[in-house]
Amino acid sequence: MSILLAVSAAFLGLVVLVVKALIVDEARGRVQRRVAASLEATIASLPIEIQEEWAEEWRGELAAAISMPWTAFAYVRNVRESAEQLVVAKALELVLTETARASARAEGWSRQSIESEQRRSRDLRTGRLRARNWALTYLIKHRDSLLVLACVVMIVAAGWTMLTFPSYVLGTVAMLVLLGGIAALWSRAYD
Amino acid sequence: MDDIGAVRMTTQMLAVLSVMVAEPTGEWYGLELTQRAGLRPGTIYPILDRLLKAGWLDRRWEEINPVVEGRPQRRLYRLTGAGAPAARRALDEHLASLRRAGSRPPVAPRPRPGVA
Repeated sequence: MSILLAVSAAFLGLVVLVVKALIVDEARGRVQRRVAASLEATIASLPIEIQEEWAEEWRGELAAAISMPWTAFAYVRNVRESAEQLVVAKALELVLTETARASARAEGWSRQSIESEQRRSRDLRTGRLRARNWALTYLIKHRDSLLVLACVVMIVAAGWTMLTFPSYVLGTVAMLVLLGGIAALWSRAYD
Repeated sequence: MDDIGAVRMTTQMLAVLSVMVAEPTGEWYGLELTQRAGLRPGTIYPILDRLLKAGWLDRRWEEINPVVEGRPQRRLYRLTGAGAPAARRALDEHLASLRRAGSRPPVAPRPRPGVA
């Protein structure tokens, strides 16, 4: 009987290990594919000249960072911003020099397309800044109400945790942790 | 004398140049430079682009067999003959301006209203 139990436990352990490994590999693969697809989308949205100049380098550097998901995500996000700056720099360069103007026309750039690219990039940055400013202003303006709301939510969560936890000791510890969180939040908000 | 253009200096650019000036004949790839200069990953390319266009840097593809090495080729950047002294000058000027700012007498605080 004990041998049967030991064999079953070993088999179950093995199954758990295999399933866990599969899940981890699957998740990692999905993240990597998503990050790579995001970089490819960024590259595809760029003028052909900038693609030729930078795409291979970005792909290579992403390949070096792909095993670190957070770094890879940050890399792709920052490359997108860098690409916008490169496009604007290229557009400016084309606008500013006479000889470049001729080559710009030869490459299919027109003054309108350059200006619209500059406008698009500026609007994008202005839009982001405006959204960030709005969020900050909202937070500052409604700081008191938001803090009260956060406290109410945390107290309800603390009460619920205390009542539903299997052990009252654990529930009390959880409640104390939550109350500590409220105190920390409060002290930071009014620092 | 090589033809070299002026570059608008930013804090990030000075950080990149300080890494490169520390070893003027060295070659670096983008991620390595980013890490050494303490920049966020992926933010270095506009800086490299400006330095390349101004003639401070040149670049080449690493000569390796990606299959043998098990990684893609890297693009290596290095200071040009004219870029190295220009970078050193830019860093010296920046340090001098910091020193000047540090040697200025501190601004006296304004008296608070109601305090004698």
